[in-house]
Amino acid sequence: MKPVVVVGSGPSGVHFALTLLEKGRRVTLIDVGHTRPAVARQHDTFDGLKRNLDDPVEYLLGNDLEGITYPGAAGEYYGVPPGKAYIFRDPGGFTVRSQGFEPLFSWAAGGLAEAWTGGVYPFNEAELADFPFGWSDIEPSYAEVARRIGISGEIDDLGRFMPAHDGIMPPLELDLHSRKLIDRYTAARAGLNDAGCWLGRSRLATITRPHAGRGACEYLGRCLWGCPVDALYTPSKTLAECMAFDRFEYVPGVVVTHFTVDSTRRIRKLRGHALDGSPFELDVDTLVLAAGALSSARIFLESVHRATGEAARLTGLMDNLQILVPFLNVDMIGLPYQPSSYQYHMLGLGLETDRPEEYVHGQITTLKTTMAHPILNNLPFDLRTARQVFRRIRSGLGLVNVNFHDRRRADCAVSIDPDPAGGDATLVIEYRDDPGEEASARAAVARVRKALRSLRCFAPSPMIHVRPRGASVHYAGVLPMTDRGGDFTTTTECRSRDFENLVLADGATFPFLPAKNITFTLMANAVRVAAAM
Amino acid sequence: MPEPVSPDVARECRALVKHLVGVDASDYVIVRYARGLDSATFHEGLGQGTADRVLRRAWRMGGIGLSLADTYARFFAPAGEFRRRAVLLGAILESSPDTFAAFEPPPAGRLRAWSALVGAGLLFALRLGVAIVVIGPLHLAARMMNGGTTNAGRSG
Repeated sequence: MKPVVVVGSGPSGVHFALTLLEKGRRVTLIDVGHTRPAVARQHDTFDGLKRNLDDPVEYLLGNDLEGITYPGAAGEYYGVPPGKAYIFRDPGGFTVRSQGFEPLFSWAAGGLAEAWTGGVYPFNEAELADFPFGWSDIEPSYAEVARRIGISGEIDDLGRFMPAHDGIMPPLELDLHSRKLIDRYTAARAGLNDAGCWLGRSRLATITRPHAGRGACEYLGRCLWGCPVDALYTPSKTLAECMAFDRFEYVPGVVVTHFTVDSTRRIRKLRGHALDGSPFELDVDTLVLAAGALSSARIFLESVHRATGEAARLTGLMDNLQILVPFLNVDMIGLPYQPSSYQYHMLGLGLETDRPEEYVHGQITTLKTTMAHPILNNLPFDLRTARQVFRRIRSGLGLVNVNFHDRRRADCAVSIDPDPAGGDATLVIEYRDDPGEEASARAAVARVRKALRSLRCFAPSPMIHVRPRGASVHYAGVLPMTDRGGDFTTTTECRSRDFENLVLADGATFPFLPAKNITFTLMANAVRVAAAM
Repeated sequence: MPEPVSPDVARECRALVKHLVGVDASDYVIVRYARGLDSATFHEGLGQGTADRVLRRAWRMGGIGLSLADTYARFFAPAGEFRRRAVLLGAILESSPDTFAAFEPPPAGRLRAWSALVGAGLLFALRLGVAIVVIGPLHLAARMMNGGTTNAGRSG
C-alpha cells in the first residue's frame, strides 16, 4: 500500500500520522520543520539562568534585544521570547494580505502549538452541536490523546463546562497566589455561582509524573521561554515518536504550494519548493492537509486555481476574540514571590451565558517570571517609582485571558491573489467583527471584573487590552465538515467533497469555535479521522 | 576584555543605573546598553520631539535633573527617546545577574510593603509637581520657538 502523504507537523498532522502508523500504514510527512535551539542549562531555575548564563541578556531578550517591548509598541504586554522565534521564522516566499486580521504562521516542527500554553479543554455536547458527530463519537479520541500527551488537572467546578475523559493525572502544585485565589473563591462560591461564574483548575498538557519518556514538571519557572524538561507537551514530541516507525518518512525543508489533479479531480502530485528554492514534487495516492487552517486553505485554493482557473473564496474563517484583563490581588502584597513555580495558567474562570455553546472561558495566570519592563512602562509613574511599586506588588499580579466563541460568517473569508507570472499566490484574509460581539464582550469583561473583585482583586479598566483578531491563533472554519454536502465542505470523516483523495485534518474543518483552546480537539479529531481511514 | 564603549554612553548608563536601581553599573550592563542603543529595534519608530530636546538637557545633568526628566517624561513624552532609553536599560537590568533582584519583592511584611507603596506614591506626586513647574515652562517655550509643530503624538 502506498504511503499516506501528510502536510504539516502541527498537532493535527502528527496525531493523524501516529494513528495511521499504529494501524500499520505507511506515512510520509512533508514539513518546513524549523527546529528548536538547544536548551540552555536544563535544570537551572529562572533566577539561576540569570546568575549562571554567560550572557543572560541575550538569552532573555535576544541578540538584537528584540525581546524588549518599547514604549509606543502596539498593544501587547509581551512579545515572543527570543528562544521561541524559530517557531515563526518565515521560510521565504509566503506572502499574506489581510484586513481586520493579524495572522500568525508557523513553519516549525510541531507548528504553532510549540508555543502554546497547554490548555486542554474538550468540547462538550453543546459545543459540538454544529459538528456532524457528538461527544460519544470523539470521547475515545480525547482519551487516546490524553494517553499520548499526558494531562494533569482536576474534575472540579469547571467540570460543568468540560466533560471528563480518561487519562487525567493529578494537578500541578499551585503557587501561593493561585492558592489564595482558590481559597477566596471557596469562601465566595455561592455568590459567584449565582452570578454564573465558576472557578477551577486548568486542565493542562503539563505532566506531574514521568510519562512517555518525558519528565514531570520541575517548577523551574522557565515556561515562558520553553519548558527545558519537556514536561509541557508539544507536537514535536509526537513527531519524534513517529520517527521511531520504519514505515514513517519525514521530509523537512519543503514549502508545499499546491497539488495537481487529473481529469477526474483525483490528486496525483504534491508540488512546492525546498528552502533553497529548488522545485519539489511527490506522487500522491492519499493526501492529508494538516498545515493549519490558513496554510491548508492556501494550498487548497492555489490547487483549485491551477486546476480550474477559478479564484475561489472560502468563507467562514473563525478565531477566538481574546481580551486581557490584568489584575492585582491586594491580599498578596507583602507576601513572598515564587519565581520557581509553574508560570502558565493554572486556574480557569468559566462564565455561563444564555446559550451553553457561547460559554466564556478565562485563563488565569498569576504573573511571576514575565518580563517586568512592559509592565513598568504601563504603570502611571516614572520608571524609578514604577520599579519600586512593581517589586512590592509583583507577587499579586495576575492576568485573565478572556476567550470568546466565534461562528462562521460569510464576510470572514480567505482567498488568493494568484501571481500572473506563475509564482506563488498571495493569501488574502478578510475578517469583519460580528456587530453584536462588542456589547456581549464588554458585558462579559464586566462580569470578569466583578468576579475578580469578589476574589479581592482589582482590575483597572485602562489596563484591559483587546488583542488583535488573529492573536489567539485558533483559526478554523474555512472548509467545514457537514453532513449536508456542498462545495468546499468536507464529510464527517473530513474527506474533501471537491477532491476524492484529499483529507483535511486540521481546524479548517471545524464548523464552530467555542471559547476554548482548540488544540486538544484538533488532536482528538485527527485521531478520530485517521482511525476511521 | 569588555567591548569599548563611548565615554558619553558609559556615563549616561552609570547615571541611569544609579537612578533606576541605586547601584553602580557593571561593565556587562554598560556594554549591553551600548549595544542596545545601536540595535535596530531601539531605533524603530524613534522620533525627535521638542520634549526630548528639553529632557536631554535635564537627564544629562544627572541627579535631580534625571529624576525630574523621568517623572516629566511619563506624562509628557511617554514614548519619547528618554523613556525608550530607560526601558531599554530596565530590560537589561532585570535580566542581569547583579541587578535582577531589584525587580523582585524584598522580604517584608504587609505593613512595610504598604508603607513603601504609600511613600513611593507621595514622593512621586511631589516630584511630578516640581517637574511640571521646572520643565513644563522650558518645554512650552521650546514648542513655541518651534512654531508649535512637534511630533506631539510621539513625544510631546
